[in-house]
This record gives sequence, structure tokens and C-alpha cells, in this order.
Amino acid sequence: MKEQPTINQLKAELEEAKASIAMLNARLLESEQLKSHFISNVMNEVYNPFTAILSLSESLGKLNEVSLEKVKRMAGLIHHEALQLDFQLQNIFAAAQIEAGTCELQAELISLVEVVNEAIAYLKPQFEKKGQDLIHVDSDKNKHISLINDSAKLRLILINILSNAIKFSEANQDIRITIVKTGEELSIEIEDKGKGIPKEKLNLIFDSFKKLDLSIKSDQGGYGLGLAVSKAYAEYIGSDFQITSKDDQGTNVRLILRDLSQDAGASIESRSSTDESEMF
Amino acid sequence: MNKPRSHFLLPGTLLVSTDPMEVTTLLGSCVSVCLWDSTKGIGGINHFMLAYWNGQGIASPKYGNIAMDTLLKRMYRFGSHKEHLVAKVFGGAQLLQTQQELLNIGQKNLQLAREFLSKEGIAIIASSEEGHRGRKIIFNTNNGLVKMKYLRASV
Repeated sequence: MKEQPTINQLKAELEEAKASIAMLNARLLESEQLKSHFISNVMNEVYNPFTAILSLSESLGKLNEVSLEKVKRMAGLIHHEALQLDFQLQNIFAAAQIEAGTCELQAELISLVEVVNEAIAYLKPQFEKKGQDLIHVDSDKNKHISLINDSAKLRLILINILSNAIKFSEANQDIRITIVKTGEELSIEIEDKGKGIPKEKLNLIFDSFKKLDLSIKSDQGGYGLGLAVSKAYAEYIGSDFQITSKDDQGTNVRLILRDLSQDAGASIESRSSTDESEMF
Repeated sequence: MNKPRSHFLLPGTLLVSTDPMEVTTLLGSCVSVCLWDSTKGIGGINHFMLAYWNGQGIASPKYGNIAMDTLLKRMYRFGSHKEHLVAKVFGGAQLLQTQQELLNIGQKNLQLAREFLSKEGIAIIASSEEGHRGRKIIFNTNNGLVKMKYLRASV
């Protein structure tokens, strides 16, 4: 006959169950806090540039004197804020699409150098304002490198990684982007000399609600949605991230690319399937 | 009649359509559930990679619990009723022979799909599950039929 558990055993089991409920509760609480942080952050990121655009364009309309210099300066400011807004909205809409499960691949032959240059051009106002430079290493030499991929998704991934590199680097710390081709493997490396990511927090950076420093005073802006979007997009295009980072010595992000022509999305029939098919 | 439009379904996404479409997807340990409403001619399919969202990253239909819920809700939005729905389940293969876990990823995915469908009272009328080979399926949203081939290469 099976032995009945003793009262002490049952008590211990109960204690264990209680402890795991308490842990679950704590995690739920944390996730709620992160979510409310997330919403208020998203609102700030959208409202701040929008308010700036509204007031700048209003004052532009009210200018009495004709000073091309002044008009140009204000137009530049409006453009800068509009770009910020555009960037945030791109990430928000991408996240909404990922959440809804409605993303599709737009695979076509693309020039890798061109996509990288587009990402750099998009961020130009951001890094110039900070007094940094984005150095695209060997861009002339690599001009011929092309592959079948989704340029819009790849571009948003790059913009997010580069934007982070800019954010977490100081004025004189340039950022280097290199296209690396070793044998069959193609990757893009982004290297900054910024403050780096502590080892124990490396696995948290792709979590959409987590910004490593959650305090309001944190001067880096953003709400951590960009990297979560980048990770999901990377999965769609079959890419992998490799990240190495050292405290105060910068971060190195390597995005390994795949040619989607070998992939299902581009040509399903090229993959060898058996001849017999069954109907269900 | 015109040939139905074709669509390739990425892992982690789903599709519901009232138009005739041929939806193709490739499955290894992933699972696809096809829902079909013959009274209204609405077909829907998902493709999830893991059973449960772990609370990290974006809560997307990459995860079974979200993919099943989102698919069913979208079928409703297109005008389907639960009592008219039937399901076909595919995938959940064990491609890596070395997995030591009690239940491998594929089995966990299948279990989630079965439990969800039984809780909602939706019958599984056909399935091709488990095994050690990947599958290519083509779901026709016009008649609910699924054509399946085994893959030689792994997914």
C-alpha cells in the first residue's frame, strides 16, 4: 500500500506552494509597474516632440522680420523634432504589428552599404547634435555586397542599435560600423566606446518594458521598445545578435545576416520536400 | 475561377481571410492551427514557436497562448461563431534527437493547442503531429483543406 504523507510533509508542500505564489505575485507586481512606466514613457516620447513642433511652427508663422537665417534655424529645429517623432512612431507601429502577428516579409535584392548609409543619414541630426561621428568603415570597398533581404526591417534594426550607441556614448566617442564578410557569413558590426552594459543586465536589454535605468532623471530618453522591436524583426529576417560589452569600455553589437533567397519566404519550392503530399 | 492568392506565413504571425488564399508555412517543432468556418467560408491559421510567453520582449503570436487567443478573436471579428468552427493541427516535430526534457518543445506546443481547443469546445477534425521531420503545409482559406508534405531538410 502507498504510504500516506505525514502532516509535516504536507505542511512543507504547502509552504513551498505559498512561496511560489508569493514569488509570482512579486513578478506580476513588477510587470505592472514596468507597464505603467512604459505607457508614461511612450506618451512623453510622442508628446514632447509634438509640442515642440506645434510651438515652433506657430512662432515661425508669427515672425515679423524677414530673416532667412532665423527661418532656417527654426525649420531645422522642427525637422529635428519631427524626425524624433517619426522614429518613435516607427517603433510603436512596428511593435503593434508584431503584437498583432500581421508582419510580412518584403524580400528583395538590396545593397547592404546603401541600407547602412540610409540608417546613418536618418540619424545624422542626432549624432551631429551630440558632436559625434558615425564612421562607416570600408563603405567604398563593400559597395558590391548585395543580398536578398527585407530592407525596411533591416534599416529599423540598424537605426535602433545605432541610436542606442549614440545615446550611451559621450561627445567625442565616435561609433564605427563595419560590414564583415568571412567566407559565407555576412554581418554588420556596430562598435561604440560608450558606457557599456553591465554583464548581469545583458539579457534584459531586449525586454520591451525594461530600460536599465528606470529613474525619471535618467537622461537617455527612450523606453526600451526599440530593442524589443529589433529582436522580433531580426527573427523574421533570420538574423542573430551577438553582443559583447564591458563596463565603461563600450559595446559591440554584431548582427549576423542571412540571404533570404535560401529561405522559405523567398522560394518555398527550392527547399527539398518529398514528392508525396497528403490532404487533410 | 481565379487562382487563390498565395501568402507565406512567417513564424510568429497569423492570418485570417474571407478571400480565397493559399497560405504556406514551414513547421519543425512549431505548431500551426488552422481554423475553418464552413458556414461563412472563413479560414484562419497561426504559426507559433513556443507554448507560453515568458513575460519578456513583445507579447506576440510567437507564443502559443497568445497565438491561439488572437486567432480565435480575429475569427470572431470576421463574423465567425464558435459552434461553426473546426480545427486542424500540424507540426510539433522533435527535430533535435538530443532533447532530454520530459516534454520537448514540439510536444509542449501541441499540448497547448489541444488544451486551448478543448477548453473552447472546438473539435480537431484532422492533424499530422510529432515525428522527426519538418512539414510544409498549404492551407486553402476557400475550402479549409490543407495539403501537407514532409520536408527532407530540417526547418
